[in-house]
Amino acid sequence: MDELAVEVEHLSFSYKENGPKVLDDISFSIKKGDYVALIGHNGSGKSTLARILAGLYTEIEPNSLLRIFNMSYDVENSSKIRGLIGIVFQNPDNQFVGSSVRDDIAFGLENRAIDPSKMDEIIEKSAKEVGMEEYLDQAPENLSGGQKQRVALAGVLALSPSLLLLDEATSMLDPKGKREILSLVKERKKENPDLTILSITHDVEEAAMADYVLVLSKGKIILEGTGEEVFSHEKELEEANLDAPFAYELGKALKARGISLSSSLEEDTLLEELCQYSSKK
Amino acid sequence: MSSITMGRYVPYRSPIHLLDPRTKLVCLVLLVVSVFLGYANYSTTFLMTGLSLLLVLVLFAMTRMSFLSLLKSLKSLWFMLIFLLLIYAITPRSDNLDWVAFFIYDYPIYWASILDALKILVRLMLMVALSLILTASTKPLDLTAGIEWYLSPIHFLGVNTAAWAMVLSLALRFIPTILEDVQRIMKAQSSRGVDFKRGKLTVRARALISLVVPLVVSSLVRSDELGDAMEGRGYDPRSKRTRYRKLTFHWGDLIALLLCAAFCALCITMSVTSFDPFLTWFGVTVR
Amino acid sequence: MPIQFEKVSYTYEKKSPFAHDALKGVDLLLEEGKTSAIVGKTGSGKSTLIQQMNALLNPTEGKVIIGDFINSANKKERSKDLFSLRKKVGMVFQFPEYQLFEDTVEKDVAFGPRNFGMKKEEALQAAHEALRRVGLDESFDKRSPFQLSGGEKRKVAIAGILATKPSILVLDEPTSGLDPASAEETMALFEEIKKDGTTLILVTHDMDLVLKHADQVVVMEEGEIKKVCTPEELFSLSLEEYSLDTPKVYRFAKKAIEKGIPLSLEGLHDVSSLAEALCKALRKEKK
Repeated sequence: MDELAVEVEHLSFSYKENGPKVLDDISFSIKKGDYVALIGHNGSGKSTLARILAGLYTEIEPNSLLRIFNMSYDVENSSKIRGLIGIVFQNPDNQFVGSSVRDDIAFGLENRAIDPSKMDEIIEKSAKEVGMEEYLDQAPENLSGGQKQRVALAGVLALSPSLLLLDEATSMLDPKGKREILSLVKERKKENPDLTILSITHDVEEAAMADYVLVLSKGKIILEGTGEEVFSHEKELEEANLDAPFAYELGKALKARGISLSSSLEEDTLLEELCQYSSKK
Repeated sequence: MSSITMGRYVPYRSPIHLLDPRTKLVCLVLLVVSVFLGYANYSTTFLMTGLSLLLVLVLFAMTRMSFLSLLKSLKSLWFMLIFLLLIYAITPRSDNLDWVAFFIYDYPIYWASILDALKILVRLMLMVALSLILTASTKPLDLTAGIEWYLSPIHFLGVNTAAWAMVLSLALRFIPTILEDVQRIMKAQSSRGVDFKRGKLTVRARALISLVVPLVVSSLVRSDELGDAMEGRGYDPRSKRTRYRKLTFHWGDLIALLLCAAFCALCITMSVTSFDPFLTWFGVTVR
Repeated sequence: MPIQFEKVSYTYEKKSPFAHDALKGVDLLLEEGKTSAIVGKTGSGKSTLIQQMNALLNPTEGKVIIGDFINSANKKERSKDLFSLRKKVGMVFQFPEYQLFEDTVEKDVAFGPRNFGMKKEEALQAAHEALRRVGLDESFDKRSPFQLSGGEKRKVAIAGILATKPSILVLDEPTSGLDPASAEETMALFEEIKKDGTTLILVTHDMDLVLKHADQVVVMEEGEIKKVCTPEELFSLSLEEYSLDTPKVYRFAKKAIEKGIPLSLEGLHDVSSLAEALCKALRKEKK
């Protein structure tokens, strides 16, 4: 059996006692080393879920089960679990703690009480990983949103997490910034196959490149499976205010015009199939 | 932008930048005390103030700050000068009342009033310049670390000095961000017909509300998210943290301290003994 | 209302060492009733350009003619009636939900109309109309804007700008942070408003949005206008030169051409037109 990074069973959560349920009896699990995308519309409860997983909200309902790397969040384990999780939030400004790139990356290291003499090496290494090594002494107000977000990623990677949570980490960035962050994440994943990633997003193109997709709508998981499986449920997705990826839409439009291809979510695969189609006859 | 650049850290490696922030804080106190001492007479006061001014200008040049930014920050002191003059003119000191500069209708304005106002003004100016030198040459984080070090004795009284230092450094970090918010909101509300510059008092009060409420709301959102982000990266004000930036005391710090202490001692001695160099050395009696 | 830029330059902090040219001699006509997209890298001058359109900034050289309002570098030539200009030019800034401040939704939406001189009753009437238009029913009128969801707040903020019935609407990244369905809904709303003859100006990095909604694209680079053309024309070119993104449809089509599928780029504007063109090309090949 595969090792599980996250196990969630019957998880419910509301901000106020007896208030509306933001998460309603959710169950899912994430395999270690998987890249999972959790998609949902604005207000579907996806950011709440990220914060619960990161141990920021602890008042979950009593019969909920939440285990991370086979440990449940209790007094004993919670700091241990938090040490394994890194989270990047949405707003680039509101997670920049230090007065320079260097100090911001150091912040997490200081919290983990890492020996200061080893910090410079770690800081430089993680800044390099996100391509910010030339900006180490820059103040946040001189950086673009995308650069700040890269620093946030470096700050988290410096702590070598086993589970990386991206809570709409790209939603406030321009397309270029978005692409940079996603390709950095993919690169990290390639270098460290054991890293489990849960990316919370409403960008379906990002979801298309994940190993597994969870769809959250109004506090419930309405669909889950591989990208191909999930995006074939058009009706449910539409009800959940979500699009399908471009390649899927195009495949569908071609099918309607008599060109049937496999329902791939990858543009390049689709293109390959198109070329084969034209040379076949 | 000009208001934001004032008082900000200027990245440069001058001898002053390299000093320990703790040293710089003590030196600041010593020099400010020196500047505010009183002397035997006006001439000695201005002689010593001149010396201080020279010192401050040298320090200023060393930090590579632009003199333009100094002049800009001093611009607001004009109002202060007039205000001080007014106060001293209305309440002249009892001595030196024989030395009238001019009359405004039959009301005498004494030289003493003008000189006293000028004296205070120059001292304030020097104090501002000295603080600017400190903030320009010290990263906010180092500065808070320095302040925290001095506060550490009260740590034993149960005060979490590290947490307060963190609050201070976060405040410094977010000043530019919040100033940007102010500009953004003002633009948005101006587009909705708000005039921040003119109008009756009630209209202006509403204009202010339309700025302040969104600003408070966005700052609350920011602090909320910042709290989550800090916690997510393992920050716990109660647990032990290590420090990336170590404060280290070098030879340079000792020299800087000795120099500042010597200057301060000189000023204090002169002040306490009412030493008058003009009389003692040149035998001239001056005011 | 059309907007005409005549040799407009804008320098931030003119006459200071921080001087920075944000616009350099811009000549541009934005036609009435059309959607003009303004694209370019961050720092290319887009935001400075749109701020000239309702005189949040005045040009340092040249002039902008907005209907009968002249926003000129020359103070004598500059029109005085800022209110009627700002009433006609609605600005939807990025993340407009951060400008909400009243205690009820209807009051917030009525804020603009009130500032522009409408009576209380009239303003509320206009507010209700605008709220219905963005798709918020009566149940929202008396609620606090701060208790709404992110998407609803955005709608209230947009209603607050529509309530003054502007004839020009400037949209700065109107869909950023919204999920795909809300983004589509928002853009559909603006398309609807355009049908009344409103001129739309769209500033965005999202080229899919440009392709779908713009009649004309203005490409900016370092404060200058590099190109003005239709989206189809622009995206058929090689875009590296302007460091712009390619919309998904064109990206795919260009890759297909590289692979040898004889596709015509003409008239591509969405997924179905791309599918159509691909079918045509493949059939042609088969013959």
